[in-house]
Amino acid sequence: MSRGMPSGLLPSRLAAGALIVLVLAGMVLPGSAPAGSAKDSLVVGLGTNIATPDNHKTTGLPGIGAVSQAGDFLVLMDAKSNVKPWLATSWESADGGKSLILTLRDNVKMHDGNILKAEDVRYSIERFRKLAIGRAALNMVTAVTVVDDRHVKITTQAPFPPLLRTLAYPGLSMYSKAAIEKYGDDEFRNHVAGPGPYRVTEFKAGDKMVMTAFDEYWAGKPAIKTVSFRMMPEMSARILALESGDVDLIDAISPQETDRLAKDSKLQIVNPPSAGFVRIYVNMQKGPLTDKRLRQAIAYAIDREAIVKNLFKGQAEVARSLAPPGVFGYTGDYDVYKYNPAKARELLKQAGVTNLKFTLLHSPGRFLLSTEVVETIKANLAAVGIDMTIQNMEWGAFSSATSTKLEDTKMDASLSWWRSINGDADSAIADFATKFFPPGNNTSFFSNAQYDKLYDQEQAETNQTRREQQLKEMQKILMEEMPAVPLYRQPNLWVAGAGLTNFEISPLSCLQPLHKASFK
Amino acid sequence: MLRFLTQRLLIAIPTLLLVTLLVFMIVHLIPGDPAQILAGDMATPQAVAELRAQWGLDRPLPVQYLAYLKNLIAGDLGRSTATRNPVTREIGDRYPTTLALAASGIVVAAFLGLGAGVLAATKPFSRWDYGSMILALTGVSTPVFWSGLILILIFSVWLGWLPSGGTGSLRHMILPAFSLGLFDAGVIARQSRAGLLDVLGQDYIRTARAKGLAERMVVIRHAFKNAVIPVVTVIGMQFGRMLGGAVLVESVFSLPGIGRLLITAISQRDYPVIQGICLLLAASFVLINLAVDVAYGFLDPRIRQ
Repeated sequence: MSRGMPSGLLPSRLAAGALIVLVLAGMVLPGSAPAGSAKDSLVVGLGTNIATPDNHKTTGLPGIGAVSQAGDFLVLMDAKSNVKPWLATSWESADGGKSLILTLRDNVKMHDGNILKAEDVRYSIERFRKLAIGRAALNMVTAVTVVDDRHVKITTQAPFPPLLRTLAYPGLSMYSKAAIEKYGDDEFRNHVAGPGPYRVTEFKAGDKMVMTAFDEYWAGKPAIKTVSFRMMPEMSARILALESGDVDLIDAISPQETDRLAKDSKLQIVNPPSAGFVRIYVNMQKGPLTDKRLRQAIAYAIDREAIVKNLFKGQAEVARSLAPPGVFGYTGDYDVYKYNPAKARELLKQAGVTNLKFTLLHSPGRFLLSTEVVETIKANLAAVGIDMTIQNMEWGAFSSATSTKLEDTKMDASLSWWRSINGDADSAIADFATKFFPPGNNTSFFSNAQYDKLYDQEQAETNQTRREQQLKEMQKILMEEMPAVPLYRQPNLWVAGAGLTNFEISPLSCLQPLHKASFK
Repeated sequence: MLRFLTQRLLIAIPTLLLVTLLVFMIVHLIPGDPAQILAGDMATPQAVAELRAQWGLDRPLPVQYLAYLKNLIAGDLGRSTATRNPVTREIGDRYPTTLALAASGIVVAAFLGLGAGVLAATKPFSRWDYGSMILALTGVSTPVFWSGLILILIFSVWLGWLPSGGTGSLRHMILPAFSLGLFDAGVIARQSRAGLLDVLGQDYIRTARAKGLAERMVVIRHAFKNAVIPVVTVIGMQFGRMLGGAVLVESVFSLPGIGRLLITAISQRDYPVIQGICLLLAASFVLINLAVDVAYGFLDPRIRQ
């Protein structure tokens, strides 16, 4: 024993030390998993937060896809933007196109034991419409009425052909009216009951949402018993968690990572078409870019192919229109802006502008690689003599600056993201109508009488062939006038771990119902 | 001591009031409209205006502030504009994780920092000293974001010993605690080395050694207690900083703490949540400072008198 050490101290210290080592060892040793048992739980790492398990009150698209596993869809939109029957098995138009009558699937059981009826659907749609996005998406709806237990009638101000596709929006979950009334509008978040393949069994804000298979799901018993959605904001952490086996599926991966991940034969990289695409909005009423030739010069000067190839490693797609490819009414026929610096210089010369300068508003981190994209654009424009200043802004300030009214706006241009929420070109380009000037979403202040007329016609047109033609005409005007320069369609990159199969991701980056998902 | 505590708590009231006023002014002065942000890209101007009216954001600022104070006195922090949940619930859901993270982080920091500091001070200018101080400097210089990812890579991906993030058990807290604590361990090591070296050069230490006491007893019984007083201040300050500044660690390890909640709230201009968190952090700082002062009393009997 050391000199000066009080007798009896060493053994007690040793014992305490041993205890600490044992405790630490117990903490460090991995948890045991039953050997040889088939994997029946799926862990998904999402980059966005899930605000609440109540889909009518949550925001953020991949998170909405998670929450929708409990609520289920009236109609489902597949990866090619086709609408499929789901809880609604069929539909018919009525009242000269102003109403849509949905026939509901028979005998669909919900998590609280009740059978889904037309009143639940009516109540759910009305509740969704109280949410900002619901109010915006269904703002043309004037009434939702119950015809009988299996039929619901949705009436709009005027014929609105994209209504059915809009009903496929993943935030529009169907819930049990009885459960909402029983627990109260707020408390329902802790007792979510819908007809979906999974029921919410645990929710921890900012951490995870655990869902358990609903064995009585109308489309069949889910193959995986438990699905956990973990909220993991850091992409590097999501990737490491996937590589360590802590999670089985992750979203929002940068294309820069895919080369390395593709070398791991256990991982599957999934990149379904995205409904989201990136554009530069240009102020058409004020500032240095009111001359059409200058906007066209910008379009010619940006090497979009190089951005897609080099920055996005080919995982994005050049945007040929202000609507995304694949949606109803899309046309890429009017994109004449192949990279051509000489043409850009010529247009600048024609406009008599020798020293064009403008400022681009940009909110870093808002979408994938946007900082690299704006730097590339700056270099592209500098090569033809255009001096673009990048003004980085935090999202709240950016949002405020781009929604300022015409008389107060100081915006020259902004880099922003848009998407079609319903697989229809209408929801991607309608906002360029004059009536949507900020604080609406026409942040370019584009005003064109011919365009406005086509917009009014298209909104009321029930003949789909004519409507498709009108939408294409609208895109032609936009590509000529360039209120926004279309850049590229965003990648929708997910990575799955070993053996996960039979899962599908929608263009809005949401997981479709997971009842068929399984591990090989 | 009771009078001292009461006095300190009373002083905290105007401090916290000032915090509410400052935070209120700052969040309302920065550009960005919560109604526009929450209503989303697709919202109509009417929908945005309705939201603004619904949340009372169309009233003059002084009226909004007084209404906030009135509710605050009644213990009501309002509702999140983003989720419509009570702010107390939003914060209550997250604060325990942050507290656990900061507490475990400070334990790691204190354990490693004091250990390295004592080792360095008792063997000054030896390889132990240089080795400890190089490690301390490395700890201070390493971004927690990077050290967190490296720890995950080693202990989760390569060795498979610990979870890569999330919550659920004590095991989930080990890597975040080390990631958070390594930085502060460096600060504490340098502070405790300097303090201990100073004390070890004093006359009473020479007396203790002259009495024939073992060096270990001299260091632990006589020098350490005096040297540790400034270190306690540092630990208190670091703990307070960890409560509000652990957001990077919370992000890397996907922990549902208030740092992440605050960042989300700021980006959404969720005024009630921002104000609630700032108030809580300010109150936590006041309490930590109080605890540090009480700890002084235990460490130095002269302060108790």
